[in-house]
Amino acid sequence: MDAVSLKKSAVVAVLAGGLLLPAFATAQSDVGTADKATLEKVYPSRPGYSPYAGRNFPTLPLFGDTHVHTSFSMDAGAFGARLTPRDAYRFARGEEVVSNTGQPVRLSRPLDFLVVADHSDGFGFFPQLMSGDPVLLATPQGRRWYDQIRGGKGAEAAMDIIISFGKNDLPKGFPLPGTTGYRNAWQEVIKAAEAYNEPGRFTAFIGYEWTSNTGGNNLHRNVVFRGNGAQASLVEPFTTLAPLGSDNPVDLWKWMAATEQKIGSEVLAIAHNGNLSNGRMFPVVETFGRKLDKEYAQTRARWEPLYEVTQTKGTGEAHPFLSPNDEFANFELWDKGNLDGSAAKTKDMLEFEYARVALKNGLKLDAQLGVNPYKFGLIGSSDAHTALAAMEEDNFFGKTAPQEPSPERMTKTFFNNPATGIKIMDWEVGASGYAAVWATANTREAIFDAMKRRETYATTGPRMVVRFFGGWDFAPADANNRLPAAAGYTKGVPMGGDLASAPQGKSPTFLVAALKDPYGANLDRIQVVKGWLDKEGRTQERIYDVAVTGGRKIDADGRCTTPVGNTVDLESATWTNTIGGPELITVWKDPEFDARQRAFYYARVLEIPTPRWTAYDVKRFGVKPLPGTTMTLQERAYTAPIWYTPGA
Amino acid sequence: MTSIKFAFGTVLLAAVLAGVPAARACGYHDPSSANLGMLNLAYPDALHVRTAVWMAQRDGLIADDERQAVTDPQTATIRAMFRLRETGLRLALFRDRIGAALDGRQLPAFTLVLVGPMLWTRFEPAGDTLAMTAHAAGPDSEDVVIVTDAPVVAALLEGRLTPQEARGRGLVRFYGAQASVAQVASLLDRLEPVAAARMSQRRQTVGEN
Repeated sequence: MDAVSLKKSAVVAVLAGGLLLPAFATAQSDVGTADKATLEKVYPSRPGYSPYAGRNFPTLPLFGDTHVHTSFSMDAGAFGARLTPRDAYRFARGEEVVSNTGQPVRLSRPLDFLVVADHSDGFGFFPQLMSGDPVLLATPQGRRWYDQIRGGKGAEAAMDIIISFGKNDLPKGFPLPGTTGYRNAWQEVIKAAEAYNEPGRFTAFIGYEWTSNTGGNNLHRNVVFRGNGAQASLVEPFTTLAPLGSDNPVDLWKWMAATEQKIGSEVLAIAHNGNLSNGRMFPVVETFGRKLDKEYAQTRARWEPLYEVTQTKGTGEAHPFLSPNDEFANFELWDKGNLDGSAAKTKDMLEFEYARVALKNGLKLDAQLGVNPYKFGLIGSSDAHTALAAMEEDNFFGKTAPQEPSPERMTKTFFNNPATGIKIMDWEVGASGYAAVWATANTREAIFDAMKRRETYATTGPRMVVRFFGGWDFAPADANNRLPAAAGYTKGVPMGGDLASAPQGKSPTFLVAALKDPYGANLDRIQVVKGWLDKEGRTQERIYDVAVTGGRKIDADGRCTTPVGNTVDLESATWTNTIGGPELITVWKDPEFDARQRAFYYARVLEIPTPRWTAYDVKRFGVKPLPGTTMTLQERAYTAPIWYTPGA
Repeated sequence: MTSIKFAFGTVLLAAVLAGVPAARACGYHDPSSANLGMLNLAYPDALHVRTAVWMAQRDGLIADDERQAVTDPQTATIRAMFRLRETGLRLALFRDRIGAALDGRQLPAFTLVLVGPMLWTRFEPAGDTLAMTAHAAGPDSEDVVIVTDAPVVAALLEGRLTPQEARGRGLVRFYGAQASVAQVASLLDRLEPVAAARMSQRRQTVGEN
């Protein structure tokens, strides 16, 4: 910068705001160059009037859904979904749309981002078939399916299609990667995302679901692209059927690596529904006939920074069998069998299905292999097969089109496998959840980067604001601040981060804060869940109530045994915020820290009890619930953990 | 079943399996989400009828059907049998009333599906009247398809709802070739409710006397 331009810039700076900062103005005459480094020396870390000026940490809690299916998914289409990816983005942006069953529907407020994640196998098949695609209809199979569906034999057609798919006996024109039909469907997904992506207001990610399901055991992953349509157009989604695809996640990760090379942009994968994997989602010894080794651990950790811990098919944070001391673990569980109900659940499977125990086993694997494969952040998302990310309890549009609001859904069967007797009722489907991401901007890049660094939390529906920081020096005074993030980022690491090498004699401290959803219920409590590897190498867990509302007491053992109460009036499907509190903040120090032991910590924030969607249905439709129907719930949020690794 | 390797539609498979023995069955035996979903695929927005029905029931325009689920399988089966019989009788009455309105007009065959139980019933001209195949497998390829539900048929027959109102409220939807749909819809518009038909018959009898 020359002298003239320096003078000019100094004048501009003064006019632009420096008039209030005499020190800055004075500095210009004494300093040769007014570059950032020099100015920082002259005017070091003292902030100006605005505490927000110059901040570069994430200040936006953005809410979205990374898992919505549309009519382009084979099963969604077969269940009657008519809405397209474009409809899904429009709805998530806050527009009113007409649902698959003809009902006007709108979110209480827009979401900030959405991933349309249609199944990669058979992408766009039903719209293609039912549009009368001449190539498909020229084949005997295609013609038969078309005629069966139009002729009222939809179930027969569906069975025929599934068996043909399983045998890889598919007609010419069936949308497999490389075919025109497949390409067209993928291009339409990309175009929809491009059309509705509006940086700064709404982020429409490009993505798909890789749906590995061998033997009915759920190993599904949603794949999210950081880049734009031009980049995503360079590839087609990875499928599960050989020879084009594979049901082994290791092959998906290879595809992801090759894709990044090819498109020059990043991708990530988010696994979900370990609860329906029958013990296969989080292996610790072997997987797909191969020993779980360091390479597997590194690769999984590289590609899967997040786990979808709650959705319509159950919440998978913890299970009462695994965590008998956790009175809040019995929440929206689906633990009867695998995804298609072809095999019943046994208790020995649970250890390899739930997020908390996977986080614990990850510590063990880290000690053995030097890499933790299960170092993931947490999000929630819907897995709606309606194109509608409508997961508010009073505005729940179900998982599939037939489950959209109607008097029947309180008593209908969602799923029934007569061979095993495994049956799930519609009322067991949860109105959950959403992904919350701490990002610097509402853009694909900023949100994706936040996901990669695991600065995320899951909610079961409400949009509560949750901060969670870990460090060595947080003090109670840090909780006396309405804006804890400044202290949080200055003195520690945010959710998803790492602590290492404990300073001599220090225990980790955590600054945790939560604000209620402005539309929602008050808060009950904040808990910190700690998992660790003890000196014998066994995994342990403990739950601490760290902040509670209503003046209740936290006992010396770190637990508050007094329930917050319950104001739910089922008859009117209402509640009052006369119990609990709108916000909680505290600094908590681990009272049992051992610097030699690996550990993780995450926060769980609980709301006071509120009506479940079933209560709203009873009120609105005047129906009587089946015996055993859950009518209230305590919505919650789960933050990504902060890990402590000794000597790292 | 575990030998079937597939990567999609697992829940669908389960639903389908639930309905497999009932490939020809209607929902009174075993309601199947897959059948409902496929109906929406084959006949776009057919499921809108389902919503229109519960809204009309909520507004008191048509009668409620039996919503309360019965958990005891034996009771459920018996109730379903009675409901099927009742619906069959109503559909026969519907056939009679439509047949009476035919008045020598040509009419394409049409198939009516009740979206609640997923019960298909086929009607085709047979001389001066209509032949009815109850509990049909589905429509023939050239049929006009009418999507509606049992309480709507009941309300039409009872005169609590006119065919025009039913269409306007989305309680009845037609699918098929335009000209054929127009013919069937026009005939439906002439449907006289049972009570009115009886009155008309009585007037006729009195006049003859």
